[in-house]
Amino acid sequence: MNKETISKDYANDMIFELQKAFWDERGKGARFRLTTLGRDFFKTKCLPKIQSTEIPDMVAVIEGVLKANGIVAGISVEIDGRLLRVGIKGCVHRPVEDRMVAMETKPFACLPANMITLAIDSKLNRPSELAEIKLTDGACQILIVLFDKKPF
Amino acid sequence: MAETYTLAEATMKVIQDRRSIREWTAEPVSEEDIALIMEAGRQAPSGENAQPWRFIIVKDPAMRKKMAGLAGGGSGRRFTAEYVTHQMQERFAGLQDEAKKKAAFEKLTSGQVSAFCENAPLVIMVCGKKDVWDMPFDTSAAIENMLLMITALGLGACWVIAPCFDVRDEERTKELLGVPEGFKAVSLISIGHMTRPHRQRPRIPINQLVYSEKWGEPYYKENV
Repeated sequence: MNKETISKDYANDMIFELQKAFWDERGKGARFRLTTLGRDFFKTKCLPKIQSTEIPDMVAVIEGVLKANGIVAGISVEIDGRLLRVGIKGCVHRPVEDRMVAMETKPFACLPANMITLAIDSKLNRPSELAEIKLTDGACQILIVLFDKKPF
Repeated sequence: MAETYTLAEATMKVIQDRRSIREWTAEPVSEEDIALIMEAGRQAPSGENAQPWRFIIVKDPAMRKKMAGLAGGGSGRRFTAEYVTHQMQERFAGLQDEAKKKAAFEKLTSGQVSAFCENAPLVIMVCGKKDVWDMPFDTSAAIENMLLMITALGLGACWVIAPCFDVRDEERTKELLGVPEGFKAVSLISIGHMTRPHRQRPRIPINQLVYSEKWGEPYYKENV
């Protein structure tokens, strides 16, 4: 991995402007064009390390990778039937979500959440959907819905 | 005795008669009708006359079933997410009939709302070349042209974006139909002979839609 760094502000400004461009073009549909955002990172950095097919174990691996890369401070998960309640603390991309809220737009993309849905797809072959991103002090509360099976 | 119309009246009648039809008989669509529908699509306007549309005619029931599965799966996920976050309940707050509301929620969250193309004798997958300026607009114009021709032919159709809406579903749709990387899977159109006539859905009054010179000042003071 290239260890040279760039300003986090610069990176987040670019991500925000790209997301805003998607929003301006697709409106509420924008979120569904970003559901695989982070897939290359997931495939190269997370997937090879995921051995378990238990969701808490998968999330723990993702948390470890994201923490090691300075992307989040921590991830918690609570399984409530078909709902996954995910707490993400200290996310490096939080300023992107804050700027979304500032322009009165509900945040609609979350890279750590995508890592989890990609893991569920890859390891369990089950569909899932990022339903909600709520911002609280220092954390994001993510709601993901699990589905039983793919259509074929 | 056949009714007679001016060209403008006939055009408006076709536009106003178009419905989103989701139930069909098993009767196939004739090749003559298919040819007219495709020609209507081919004649659509496009930026720089790029004509980025490509069409895949799907009649095979097994393929239609898979496409219906992708459409229903995508819609089901999207609407379930709306349901668990209570956005759907807010959207339907005005509906007082609890049984109707429950049926609507079931239809939406199960994905049935978009999974009907399995039952259409004919499905047309509309794809668009990416390397042009205006592909989404061009292909949408082609789709509307086809929908109007379908209506004029006395057939019924529904424009379905669900199998292409989420990038994950679009990838599977493209793989299923062998659509190359340089093209986007835009939408499918489910077509057949209607089982019954359908009522027109409500429309926003024209005086709420049209402004004079700048945004905000109604062009029409009353609904016309």
